Amino acid sequence: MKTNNRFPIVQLENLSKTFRQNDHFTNAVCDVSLQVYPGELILLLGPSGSGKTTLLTLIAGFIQPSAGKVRLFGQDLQTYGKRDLQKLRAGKVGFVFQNFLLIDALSVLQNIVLVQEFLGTSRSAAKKKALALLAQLDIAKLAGRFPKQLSQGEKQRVAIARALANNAGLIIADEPTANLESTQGFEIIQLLHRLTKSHGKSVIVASHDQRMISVADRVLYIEDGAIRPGKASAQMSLQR
Amino acid sequence: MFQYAFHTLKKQPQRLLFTVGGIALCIVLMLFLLAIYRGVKDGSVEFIRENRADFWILQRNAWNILRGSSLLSTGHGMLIEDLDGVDSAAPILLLLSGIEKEGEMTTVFLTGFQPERGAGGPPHIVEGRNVESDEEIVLDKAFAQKYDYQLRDPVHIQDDTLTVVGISSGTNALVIQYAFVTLKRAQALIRFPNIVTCFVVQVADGYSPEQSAAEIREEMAGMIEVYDHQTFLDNNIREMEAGFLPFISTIAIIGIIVLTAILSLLLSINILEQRQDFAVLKAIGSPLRFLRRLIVSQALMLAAISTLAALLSFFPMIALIETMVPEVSVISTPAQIIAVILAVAILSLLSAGISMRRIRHIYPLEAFA
Repeated sequence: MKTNNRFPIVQLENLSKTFRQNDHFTNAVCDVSLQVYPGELILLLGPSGSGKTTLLTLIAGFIQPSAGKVRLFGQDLQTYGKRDLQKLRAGKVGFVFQNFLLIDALSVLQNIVLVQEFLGTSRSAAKKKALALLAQLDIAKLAGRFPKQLSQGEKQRVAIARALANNAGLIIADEPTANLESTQGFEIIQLLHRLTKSHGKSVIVASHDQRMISVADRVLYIEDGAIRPGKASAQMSLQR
Repeated sequence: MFQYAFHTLKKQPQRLLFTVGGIALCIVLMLFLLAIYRGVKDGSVEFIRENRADFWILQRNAWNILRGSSLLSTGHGMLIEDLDGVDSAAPILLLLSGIEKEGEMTTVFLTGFQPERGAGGPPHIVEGRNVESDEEIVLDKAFAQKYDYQLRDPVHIQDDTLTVVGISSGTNALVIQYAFVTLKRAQALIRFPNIVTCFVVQVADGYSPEQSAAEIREEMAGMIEVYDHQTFLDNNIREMEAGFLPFISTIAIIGIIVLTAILSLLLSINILEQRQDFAVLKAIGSPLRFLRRLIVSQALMLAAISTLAALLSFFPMIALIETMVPEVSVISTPAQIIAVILAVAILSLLSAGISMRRIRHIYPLEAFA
């Protein structure tokens, strides 16, 4: 693999997550090992309930693994305290959600300025950076609008701008095209690809969208919480 | 952050209106209680405060005139005035007396004094003049307004009819009002021509108050109590507060609880409604202090808007109450308003503290749901 000589942003070592409800155990993620390098777009493909989102939340440190390890930027997440995790998410990890999840009460510009305030960036510097990002994503004209005034595609672009606001090295996207029309979905796919290649970001996308395969560096097919290598190859061959 | 806090508050304008209204009413209640407390405090003891004396002399074991009885005779006054260290000892007789108007009886705190001596009379005359003869009476302003007494109107006390010659202020103690007549008239009303309640004593030139007090105590040992002006004033304030403060405090505490409950409730509802926003903010790296500051901002904004609404409605409301219920004497001062604003700020911080505990139970994982 061409990226092997670089330092991995994400390292998963035999990662498992089991949920218990009364006496019933569910293996949401089973023995997943993975390394993600800068400039790589990883696609987690699989049916609903396969464990894609659980894997994303494990990577982000929202839940603790039942077994195995998650290393982000070279450090074991288990060694992070609550505050360290919060700082990590604020500064190094960007999130793109299926439902966009912008703050409705704030304008587009304010949504992007807000996340920079978490890291103590001054308001004027945050505003300048937000405007530059909006211009970069071709949505500068939306700066003064509120989320309710935007199309679904525009909302997702703003969500991506928000994820990039603090120069995150890793973008985690959960079904970013699920609520978008076909054209808008394709634009978002292209945008994520562009970010990976031109900005050197690591992007992990959980998606049903087969079109994502065309831009992914690696496709991991997940079924019943485990990665199925053969199925991913088959999917890629079909798509490409 | 302030913009976000404000936007989320105004998302539900009707609820915001009710909340601000509820909090504003609690603030008005607090302002009103403080104003009424000050009004009663001044109205109860202004008579004593303005009758500046070196000493007040009462019957043995009596320490105030508001909630205690003291019976002395005019003979005591003669003995006191005979002492070298005493310049004058003006007698005052205080009675609870019934006034009859159009078949209805009402009670006043009738104060008999000797106008020629000056001491013991009304603290302020706002209309007409002071009493000069035994057929005249000065009524409290609130009493006169409530029972529709004007200057020169007849006042029926027992079998006598007196004429209103003056209206006084600083003589309204809420539950009762002072009225002023000559000492002779007051004594005649109770058929005890020599009885008095207390003496207002001025020290003779060349004597220190301490010397005179010692001389009086020595000459009249076991018969009287001698109080300097400030001690006597403090005794009466304490008595007034003992009777009035528990009532005021109880209502104030209810107001404080209601205000805190309304504010906490609204903030908690807001947090629950913004649950997804909070989960997203947590997920994208918002520090807990940012979310806490958000809640505090909302609490302070609500407090500020409510305080403004309360202040705007308080003064017209007070004017209306004073017209409709004149015996309710209210005095509002800038210090009271500042105290209430500070109290509301503290209560809003307390409410924010109560509500923000809910943030802990919102998880970033919810953003992925």
